[in-house]
Formats: sequence, C-alpha cells, structure tokens
Amino acid sequence: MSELRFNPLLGEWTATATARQDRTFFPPDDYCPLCPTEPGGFPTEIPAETYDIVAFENKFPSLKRKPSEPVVEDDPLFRVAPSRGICEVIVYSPHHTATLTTEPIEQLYKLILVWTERFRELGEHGFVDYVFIFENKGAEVGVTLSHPHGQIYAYPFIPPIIKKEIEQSKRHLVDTGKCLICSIVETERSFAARIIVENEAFTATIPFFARYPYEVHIYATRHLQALTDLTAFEQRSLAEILKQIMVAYDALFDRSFPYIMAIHQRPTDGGDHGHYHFHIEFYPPMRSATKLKFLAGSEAGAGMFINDTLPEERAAELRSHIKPVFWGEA
Amino acid sequence: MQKSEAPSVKIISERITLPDDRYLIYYTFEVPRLNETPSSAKVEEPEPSEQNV
Repeated sequence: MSELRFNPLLGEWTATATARQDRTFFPPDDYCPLCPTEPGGFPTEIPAETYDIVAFENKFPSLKRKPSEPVVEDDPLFRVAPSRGICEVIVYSPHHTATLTTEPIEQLYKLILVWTERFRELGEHGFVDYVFIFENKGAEVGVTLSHPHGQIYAYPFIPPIIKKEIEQSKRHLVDTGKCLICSIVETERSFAARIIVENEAFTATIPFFARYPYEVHIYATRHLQALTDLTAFEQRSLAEILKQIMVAYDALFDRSFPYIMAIHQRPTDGGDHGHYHFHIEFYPPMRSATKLKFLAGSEAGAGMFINDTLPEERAAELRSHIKPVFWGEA
Repeated sequence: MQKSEAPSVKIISERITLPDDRYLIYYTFEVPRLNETPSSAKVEEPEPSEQNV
C-alpha cells in the first residue's frame, strides 16, 4: 500500500510505502538478492550467471509505474495522490564484496554511461518531473544490502531540495547575472583551501557552507545541467574525480567509508532550467573515526545544521589522501 | 593509459521482463580495438573521375 500525502505545513509530499517494511534486511552472503544466479543455486533478483551492470525496478518501491488508488479520500487540506513514479536499483558489479572504491576506474566510467542512459530514458516519461540518482553506502546510512548498488527515484514532482537549489540559482542569476554554482566554483578556486582535487572538467571541494564534516561537492567546470550534457572527455574526467574522492574517503579512517551520494541535475518536467548547474554531493555520516554525525534537534526539528568542524581543516585532511588514478590498471 | 587515449565505449542494453512484470536491463559495453579507425575519421575513397577512368 503506497500513496503520496501532502504536508501543508512544509509544502512537501511524503510517500507512504508500507510494503517496504518487508524488504530484505542483511541476508546471509549466500542469499544476496543482487548476486548473479548460480546454476542450481537459489534464484536471485538477477537471473543470469554473470553480468556487468544491471538496472531493474525495485521490488519494494516507494513509487510505482502503476500505483493503486490512495486508501484515504483527497481533501483540500489533506491532499493525497497515487504514488506514481519509478524506483530502480542499479547493481554496480557482480562482485558481492566490492565497492566503487575497489572496482577499477573503468567500472565507474561504465556506471556513468548507465546513469546517463537511465536519466535520459526515465526523464522521457510524461509523469516524471525529476530523476534522482543516488547511492546509500554503509549500514550507518541505513543500507540493508551490502552488495554494491545505488538507486534511482523518478519522481512525479521536483523534490524540495532541488526546488530550493533552483530558486536560489534563479535569485543569484537575477541579482548578479551569473550562475550560482559557477560563482561558487570561482570563489572556491580563488580561496583554494577547501579544494580537495581538480581536473580539467570538475572541481571537488568541501564547500564553505558544508553541513557535514566530510561533505564533498563535485562541480562541473562547464555550465551544464545534466549527465546527458557531458562530453566523452567529461565523462572520463568525472570517473577520475569520483574515484579519487572515494579512495580518499576510504583512506581517511582505513575503512570502507559510509556516505550518501546525491546527483543533482535539472528537472525533466520540460521547463527551462538553463540556469541550473550539474553537480554531485556526498554526505558522509562520520565526524571522526569513531563518531557519527546524527541529525538531532536543530537539524531534524528546525532544519539548521550544526557542523562540529571547520571545512578548511577537514579539506586539508581529506586532500592529504588524494592519489592519482590510472586507467587500465585492473 | 591516459584519459585522452582511452577509446570511446559503446553501451548496449538488453531488457527483459521479470515474472512479476518488473523490467530488468543488462548493460554491456563494447570497447573498440585501439587500432580501429573512428568512423568519423575514416578516409573516403575518391569517386573515380573522368580523368582516371
């Protein structure tokens, strides 16, 4: 049973998805639903003996292509709508214990091609206004399957954080005549202390306004709106900088580093979003090797984040773990 | 191999329908051989002209 309920206090939709209570929760390694199906073995979600990268509709979706009608009546105050959309799982590799950090850079590059293809195809649906590609990594952020994978939510509306970024970008454009993220990149580059690593097409920084101690943003140098705008050179440059950040994250505390990775692109609602600027954000929950950053009273109850560290200091620490990447090392 | 030398990769998809009507897409990738000439760079053979017929 799932439906969208509108929160009139915040002007936001919440999805109810009761079937997700029954989703697979840390199965034994022998029964991983994202592994290839071995001959004579138990049937996983993927009916093939091997694969490279796979995308499929989530078995426990929050949004459905063919949703059922809401169980409650629509009301002018308490609006309700069918939870129409698409939820996909992207399996990065057939290797159960791999992560994007341990996979060769070529796999990351292939994944960028898949993300691009999924964005293009899902965005073509008339009922999809926003395609959100993300990864939850590590039990600390609520992952229930350890096999390397990410997700895509194709929403029937523009989600609140993206909406806010669009509004702020528009405001900055009106005020200054410039793209907001182009301005951020220019300022971060001139200050330099918060830059983690750069290449010709992307800049990675713990931004001035970071909410999490190790929050990293990767900004495209060129003013572009989506993965589909990337040239082949930019696709490879993105693979390189992503790999460098992920390797540095794991090196920080000598462990597989948990994070939420969010790819922020233009909406697919047919509107003019030329002022928006493609970027990727990482929100790691760790604030030290042994301590987690929890969303507590101020963050959850008032929406104001308190960062216990200085971005300039954490950037220097993370930058010290950056290593060059090379293709064809697998 | 440096990035600028990396050949373009072709993405190939194969879509199947699972028993519960969900779709699943297998992605595979074709890397052209390094000594292959990109199609855009292929040199066309000139049409025979009246002079060389």
